[in-house]
Amino acid sequence: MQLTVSRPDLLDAINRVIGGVEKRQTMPILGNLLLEVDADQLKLTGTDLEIQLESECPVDAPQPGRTTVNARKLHDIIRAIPAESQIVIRQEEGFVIVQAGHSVFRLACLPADEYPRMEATTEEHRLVLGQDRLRAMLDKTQFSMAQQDVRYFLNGLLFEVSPERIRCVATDGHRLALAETDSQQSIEETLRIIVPRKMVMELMRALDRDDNSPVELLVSTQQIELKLAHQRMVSKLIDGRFPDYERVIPKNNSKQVHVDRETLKQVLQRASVLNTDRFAGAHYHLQSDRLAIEAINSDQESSREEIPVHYQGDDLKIAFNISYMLAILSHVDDMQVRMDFETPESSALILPTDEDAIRTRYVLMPMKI
Amino acid sequence: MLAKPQEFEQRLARGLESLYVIGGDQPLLVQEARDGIVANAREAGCEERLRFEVDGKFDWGALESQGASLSLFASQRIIDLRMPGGKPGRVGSKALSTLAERVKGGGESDIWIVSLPRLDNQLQKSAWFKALAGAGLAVRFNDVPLAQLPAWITRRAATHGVRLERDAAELIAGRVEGNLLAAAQEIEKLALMDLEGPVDAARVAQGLANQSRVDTFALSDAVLDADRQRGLYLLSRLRAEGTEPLLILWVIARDLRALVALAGNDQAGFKKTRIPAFLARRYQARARAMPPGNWQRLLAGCAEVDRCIKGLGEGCNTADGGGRVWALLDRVMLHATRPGR
Repeated sequence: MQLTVSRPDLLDAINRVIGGVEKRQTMPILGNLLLEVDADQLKLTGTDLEIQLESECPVDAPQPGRTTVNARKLHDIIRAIPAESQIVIRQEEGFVIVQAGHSVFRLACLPADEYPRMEATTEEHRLVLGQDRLRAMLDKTQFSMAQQDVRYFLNGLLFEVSPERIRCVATDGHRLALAETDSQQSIEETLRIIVPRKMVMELMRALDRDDNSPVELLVSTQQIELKLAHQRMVSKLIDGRFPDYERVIPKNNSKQVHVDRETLKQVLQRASVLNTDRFAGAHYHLQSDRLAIEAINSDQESSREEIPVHYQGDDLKIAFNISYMLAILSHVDDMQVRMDFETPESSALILPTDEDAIRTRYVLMPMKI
Repeated sequence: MLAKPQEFEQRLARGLESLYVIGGDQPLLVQEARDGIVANAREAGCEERLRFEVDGKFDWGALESQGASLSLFASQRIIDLRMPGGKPGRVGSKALSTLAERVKGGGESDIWIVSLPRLDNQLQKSAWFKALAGAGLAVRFNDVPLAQLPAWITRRAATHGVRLERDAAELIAGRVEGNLLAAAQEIEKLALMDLEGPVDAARVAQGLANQSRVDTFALSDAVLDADRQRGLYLLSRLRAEGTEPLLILWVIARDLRALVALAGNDQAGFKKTRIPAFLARRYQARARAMPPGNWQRLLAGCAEVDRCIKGLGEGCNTADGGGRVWALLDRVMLHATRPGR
């Protein structure tokens, strides 16, 4: 095996697969990348057997062959090499030689035949959606996914696909984000799959927010797969029942408030100066056309700020987690947000005032006062 | 104010409460009580459980705010707060007292389980503990006394469908040295073997590893009871467990100092040893059982052990010095456990 490749091409290709390699592995070979050279290109593969990422890059003077080499070391070496270098990679006596200019690295390798690969996805459903729209759907919901929750099905994002629309839902038990878009899909029954957190994050990295060309998602009962130019991503699905999210979206909250998104965001950012804890809360005191926001930290230091809002109705005192509210406000595009409250203990519905091609709903549970 | 385990079981059977404070020497009993509460709560439809382990760096603010964050899916959660150190610190004391107030006022929707270590006097006197015990159900799970351990083992085995002969129960009791978790595991192992008929000592001995964990303070009991066999056995176990000889010497020397003081009717000297006052009677009896000079001589023997630990004295500065230390400790123990007159 031998090849010559430019550093930017190789680094880009490695960056696209490095996320698939776990820092700690159960098998040593899972710390490696699989390198496969054919007539005109190099194909890289990284996997932790839950997710498998593949990328391709053009090479010069290739001699076909395959091997595996430690992912982190290769990545760090290529990053450290001067920007416009030409890199020669070849196999020699059980080692992989990486040569750039006067630098020569000799890396240990493991046989390519032993590299474990995930099975190909047997296509049962094919979803088609604009790349930018898919990315926006993920972006508007992914921040509400749980992290390492014992309720493993919350550590992912629900895709609910019916013939006319696609929904993405994420929740960690305290907040919920839903994004929905109209889209004709060639399926008969509603499809519900839970995509693991890691795949969602990798999809976010891989998808182009400004490219509206359609992409295809292949879905089987156990896997999901996305093919892009020079890139392929496969992930297992989370086998579990996502909670009945429709039940927790409030429908009849009577206290409707309209507030300037940027103003509220800035108030909360100032309040979080004193409350750096990610679980910290702020009190909201709602009166006719004004909203006072007060936050107190454990040292009894406090902040208070009042902003004008559009509201007519009874007074309400309610408390919310500061960072949860900020995350929601950061993912709404509209200038104005609408918040529907009911009681200090019942959930609030937060949504943009104007509907977009992607409709979003955020549900936030208050904190006990 | 503290409920007994039986009372706890009765109240749990009647319904869930919003605060349980459970503590005791035996992790097994505390753990089983906790499992019981959680199982009952699950049955009542309470699915979510937050677990916190209090250590030196524990963030009480985070506990408070997480406790205050309501859940979208569950109206009631289990909050499992474990405090193996038993010391919440200043911030923690305040947080626990606030919790107690909230529970008392009926404003707590979740189910709290606060697990503590041994409920000693100092802990029971603390303001936060009093507040918690006053607001919720506080239970103390006492250690099972050595004499009652065989009966406890027999009863527990019966619930696992294992019939134990008396000698078998005694053998397990002797080997686990009061470690109930180890005893419970032995019983589970026997249950898995699915043996026919009653299980006797020979059968148990086959599969029984020596899992006892002895306490250095058990040495005091051996001295006070003049139980020579037990004293030597404890020393050999402590040696096998890798206990520092200096620690053992400290316990023995403290006892001897107490005995010297009491033999000479020196109450202030006894107080200085910081041995709990309720033990004074036992020390007094043991002190008088031997001629007064006896204890003083033994204390001098301790000085020799001390020198040896520090590498001084004949045969103590060699690589095998450790062996000599243990031999000297054995000698002190032999004399200290001599039957009285």
